[in-house]
Amino acid sequence: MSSGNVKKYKCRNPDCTVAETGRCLESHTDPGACPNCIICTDDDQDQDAIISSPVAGVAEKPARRFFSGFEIGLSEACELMSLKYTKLIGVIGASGVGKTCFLSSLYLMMSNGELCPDYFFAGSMTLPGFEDRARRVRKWSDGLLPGKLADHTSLQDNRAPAFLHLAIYCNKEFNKRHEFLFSDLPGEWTSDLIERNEKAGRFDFLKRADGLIYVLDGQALSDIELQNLEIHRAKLLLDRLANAVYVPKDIPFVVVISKYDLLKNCEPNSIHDIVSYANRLGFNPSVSLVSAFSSVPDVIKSGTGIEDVLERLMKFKNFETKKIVQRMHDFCRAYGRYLE
Amino acid sequence: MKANYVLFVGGPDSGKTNYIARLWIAIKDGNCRLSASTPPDDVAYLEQLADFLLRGCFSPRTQRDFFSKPIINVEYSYEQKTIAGSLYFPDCHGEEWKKIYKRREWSKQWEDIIPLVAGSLLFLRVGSDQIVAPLDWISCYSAFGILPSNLNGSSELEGEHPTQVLAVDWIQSLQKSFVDYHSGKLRVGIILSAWDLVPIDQRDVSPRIYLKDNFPLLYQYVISNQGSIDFQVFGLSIVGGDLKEDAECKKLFLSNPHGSGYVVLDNDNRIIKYPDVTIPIAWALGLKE
Repeated sequence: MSSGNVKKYKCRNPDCTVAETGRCLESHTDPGACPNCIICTDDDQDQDAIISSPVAGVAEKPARRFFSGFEIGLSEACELMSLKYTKLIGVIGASGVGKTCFLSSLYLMMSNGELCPDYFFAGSMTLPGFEDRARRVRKWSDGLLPGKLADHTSLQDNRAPAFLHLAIYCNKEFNKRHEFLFSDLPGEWTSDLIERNEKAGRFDFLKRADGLIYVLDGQALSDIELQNLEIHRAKLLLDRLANAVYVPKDIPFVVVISKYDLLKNCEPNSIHDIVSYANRLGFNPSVSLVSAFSSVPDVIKSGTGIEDVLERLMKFKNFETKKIVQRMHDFCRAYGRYLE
Repeated sequence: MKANYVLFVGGPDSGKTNYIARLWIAIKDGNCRLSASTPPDDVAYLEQLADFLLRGCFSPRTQRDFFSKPIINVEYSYEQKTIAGSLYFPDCHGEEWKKIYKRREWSKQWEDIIPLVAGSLLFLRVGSDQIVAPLDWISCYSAFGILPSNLNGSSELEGEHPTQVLAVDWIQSLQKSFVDYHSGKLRVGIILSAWDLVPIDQRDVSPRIYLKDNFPLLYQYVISNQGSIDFQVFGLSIVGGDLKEDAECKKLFLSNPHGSGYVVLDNDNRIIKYPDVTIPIAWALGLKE
C-alpha cells in the first residue's frame, strides 16, 4: 500500500499540535474542517511553503495569553497555587459513575445562583471548560480530552491530570474566599489503578491534595447483582489510595453516592461496608447522597447533595494553615521539577 | 502617563452605539456633568450617529474599525478639581469579545490600551435577543440523559456560551492585565441599557437586583470581588422609551431631545434616578459621589 495516500494534517498555526496529536487547537472534531488546517499526504513536496502562509484570522502574535480556560494543567496549577491560597480536590471514580455530572451540577448551581446566599461564585479560570462539560461537548474519550490546548497548558504528558478552577465566596465563614482546583480525570484511570499498582504514579498529585471526593454509582451499589463487585473494587481502590498513592489521611474525604434520584430515597446499605473498610485504613470518610441531574425533579431536586459536599470540603478544621501552605509548596516543587 | 481612558465593551446589540450618540448630544448641549475638553478632530462618525438619533431613530449597526482612536476628550469638575479623560469605544460587534474568550489571548492592540485604562463600561441590553441565557437544568438534563432507560444517553448541547459567562471572563481577563500596570483598583461599570424596557413587574427593582435575577453568575462575581474591583451597576435609558414602538415617546423626544433619558443606580440601598446620561463616564473616571 502506498503511504502517499495516507491523509495527514498540518496547521498554519504554529501553536497547533494537530500534526503530532491529531487534535485541532480550535477543537474541530474533524481537523480538516479547521480553516488553518492543511490536509496533505506524504507525497506533498511543498508542505512547508503552505504552512508558512498566514494563519486565518490571526493578524499578529498575541501579546498576552490567559489561562487555557478549558482545563488547567500542572504548570498552570502550580502558577495559580503560587499566586493564591488554593485547595486541590481530587475527584475520582470509575467511568460513568457521575464525576463530570457532579462538577457540572456544581457549576450549574453556581451559574444560576442556587447556592446563594451561603455561597457566591467568585471567579473561575476555566469557565469555558465548565460550560463545555455541562453541555457534554468536552468529555474524556479513551483517556484523552478533545483538543487539549497543549500550547497553553505545557503538558508534557497529555494524560496528565486536568483541573477545573472555581473560586467560591463563603458567607457562612465571614466572607472567606476559597480557591478550588478540582481534578477532572478519565474514569479509566481509577479502573487502571485498581488493577495495577504501577499506575499509582499518575495520582501523585493526590499526595498533596486538600480534599478527596470518591464518586460511587448509587444504582450499582443498590443492585443485588452488582453491589458485591462494587464493594470489592471500592476496597481495592481504597487500598491503593492508602498504600500506593499515599493520600493524606487527615484531609476531608467525601464518598459521593451518585444517582440518588434512582435510589427510591434509600441509602445503599453496602456503603457502610466501604466506609468501615476506609476507617480501618485510617481514612475518615463522610457520605453524601447526590443527585446531580434528577430524573424526578419534583421529588428530588437536581443538585441535591452538592452543597453538602461543598460544606464537607470546606470543613478544614483538621487543618492548620501552615500545613496547607506546606502542601501547596510541596506540590509546586514536585511538579515544577516534573515539568522541567 | 495618566490613565484616563474609558473602555466601552459589549456584545452586538448591547446599546453601545446609541449611548455614544446620546452622549455626544449631551456633551454638545453642555447641560451635564461632562464637557468636551477639546473639540474632537473628527466628528463625522459622531455626527452620523447624532443624525439618526436627532431624527428620532436608533442607530443601525455600525461597521467601524475595531480599534479607533479616542474621539471624545472629556472633563468634569469635582471638589474644585478637574478630571479629564478620553472615551475609547471599540465598536467590535461582539466578535472580538468572543474571540478573546475562545482563543484565551489578546493582541498587542488590546495590551497597549491597558496602561491607559481608568475604567471600563460593560453593556448589556435589557430584552436583547442577542443575550444568550445561562444553561438550565432541563437543557443539561437532556444532555446528560440520565434516565433509567437511557443510562449512557447523551447528546451535545449546541449553541453559544451564555452572555454572563463571557462577561465574567472578560472582566477577569481585563483585571489580570490591569494589575500588571496599575496599583489602584479597576472600575467596571455594568450598563443595563434600554432600562425603560424592564418588564413592569421588575420596574421597582434596582439595577443590581435586576442583574441578580437575570445574570446571576455576573452578579455573584460583582458581589465577591468588590475588594479588588470597583463595581457599579447602572440602568440606562438614553431617550426614556422605545423610539421604534412608542410614538408618544418619539414625539416627546423630538420636542426636547436634551431633556430625555436617564440613569438609575443604587446608592446606599436607595434607587436614585439622574437625568444626566453622562454619569457612568464620570464614575468610570473616578467620580466618588
